Amino acid sequence: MSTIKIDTIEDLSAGESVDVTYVVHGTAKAYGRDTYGGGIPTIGGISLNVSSVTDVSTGRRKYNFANVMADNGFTGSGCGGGSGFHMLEAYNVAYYEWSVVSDGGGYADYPGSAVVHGGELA
Amino acid sequence: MTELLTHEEALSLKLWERELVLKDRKLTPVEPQYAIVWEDPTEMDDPVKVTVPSPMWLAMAMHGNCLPPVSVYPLPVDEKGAVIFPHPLHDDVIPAMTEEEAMEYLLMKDVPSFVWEDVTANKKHFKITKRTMVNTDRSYRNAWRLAA
Repeated sequence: MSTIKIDTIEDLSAGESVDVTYVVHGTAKAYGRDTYGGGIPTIGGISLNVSSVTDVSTGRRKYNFANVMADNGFTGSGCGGGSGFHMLEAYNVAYYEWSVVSDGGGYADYPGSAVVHGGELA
Repeated sequence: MTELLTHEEALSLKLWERELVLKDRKLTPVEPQYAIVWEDPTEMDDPVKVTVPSPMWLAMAMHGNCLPPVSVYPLPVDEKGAVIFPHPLHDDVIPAMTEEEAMEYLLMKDVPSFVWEDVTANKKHFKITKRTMVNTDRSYRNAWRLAA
């Protein structure tokens, strides 16, 4: 693997620039998309830094990280299909558990959901 | 399986870098055949939980030269929840595993130890099973229990 060491990336024509530190710390550190296969959620072929998904109960899932986060100051955002919305349930450096809640307010199974995480890796 | 990452090269990379390198070298994700069905002995009213590996992680496990020894988990954290010594995650790699061995690794990594280490219980709190053996009807998902 080769390494390029630079401080800033700058657009040639517009002159807009971004600090490389911003890119390093601002990129996604984990993501996954799961769908129901055989009655339980399974991760689609493409994911990053997710070792497994745990089907906790109706509407509740947990992504376990392959490379744990450095601390609890990471974020997760996602969507849950249908008209459901994403709600954080529990987390630590090793996992992120969330639920999909329907318009009516209860946990609901939707056929798929996706989550993206930002933060620092251990 | 073709070797896409050597042991020596793997040791020069962090765990997350190994995943990126293997993705870049077109490691094919492996669709998992198995699932871990487990119950939390401290929450007996909760339904069972089902853990399934991600195809990319399973491919990494079966390729070898990527994952650290399972003994590094869980990494110690301080009172604020931050990892104190992350280096065991990156310092060593283990050889290729079979899918069955990878499921045992995953059990010890992603399922709490009080589930699989409990020697006082009169029954096991988990089973590693074929995914096809898990119920496909989720109508009563919150009533799922581990059969004796």
